[in-house]
Amino acid sequence: MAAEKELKLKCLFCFSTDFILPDENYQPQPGEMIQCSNCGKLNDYDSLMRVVEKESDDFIQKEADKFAKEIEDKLNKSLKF
Amino acid sequence: MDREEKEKWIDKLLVFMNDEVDNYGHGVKAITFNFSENIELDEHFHLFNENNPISFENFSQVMNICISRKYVRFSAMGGGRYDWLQLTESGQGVAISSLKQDKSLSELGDINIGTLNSNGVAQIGNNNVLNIENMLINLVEQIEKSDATDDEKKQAKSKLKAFLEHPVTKTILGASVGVILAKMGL
Repeated sequence: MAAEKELKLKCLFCFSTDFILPDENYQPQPGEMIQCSNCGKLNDYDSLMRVVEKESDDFIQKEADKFAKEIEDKLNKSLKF
Repeated sequence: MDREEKEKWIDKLLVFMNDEVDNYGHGVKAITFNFSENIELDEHFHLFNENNPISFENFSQVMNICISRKYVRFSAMGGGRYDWLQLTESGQGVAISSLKQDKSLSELGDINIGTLNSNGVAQIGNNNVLNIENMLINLVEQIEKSDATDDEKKQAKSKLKAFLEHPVTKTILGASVGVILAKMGL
């Protein structure tokens, strides 16, 4: 079972995924505020990361539930006479 | 309530909820809120209303936006209209970002412009200096000091003069053009 999902940081105010950063490989530091290039608002980087972590937890949970359901269905099928 | 006002109230509400979460020292999931109107005075709508007076009708508009943007979610069904509510990670993020935004604005302090008299174009800023005169005088000095021939120096300076005398440049720099040309000996 392999499931993939790309998670992007989203502006907390307008949900845009574009931020103004000095360069493409720039890694913001904890506690830093990063500016949304769409609405111009400053977003707390730590909070953005918490939201993404929550999204990834939800995704993993959903996939795990799906997998468990598949196994259950296969077992039920194979045990049927 | 206009859109801008609603956004301000969203910030206030989320900051209030985040403060409550912080007070208990648990994660966002551990705290549930009851913002129902007709309920005991120690419930959250009244607590919020104490410091931020708002009608329940306006409060409903603000809370509905928070729910639709997933800043706030229902942790269970049943109860009152705004019972069993939880702050989400996004809602907490907005609260923290808003607080930090306000803080960085207040840290800027007051900008004292004083009296400004300008007949032409003026630039107002904080900690910036507009000094076109010095820059251009410096440029002429650098041309003079350079290893270029006299003809080349003359040509460079005449192009600079033409630039300064151009109608567009004159409009932007106003009366300063004459002063700059005189100071530069052009």
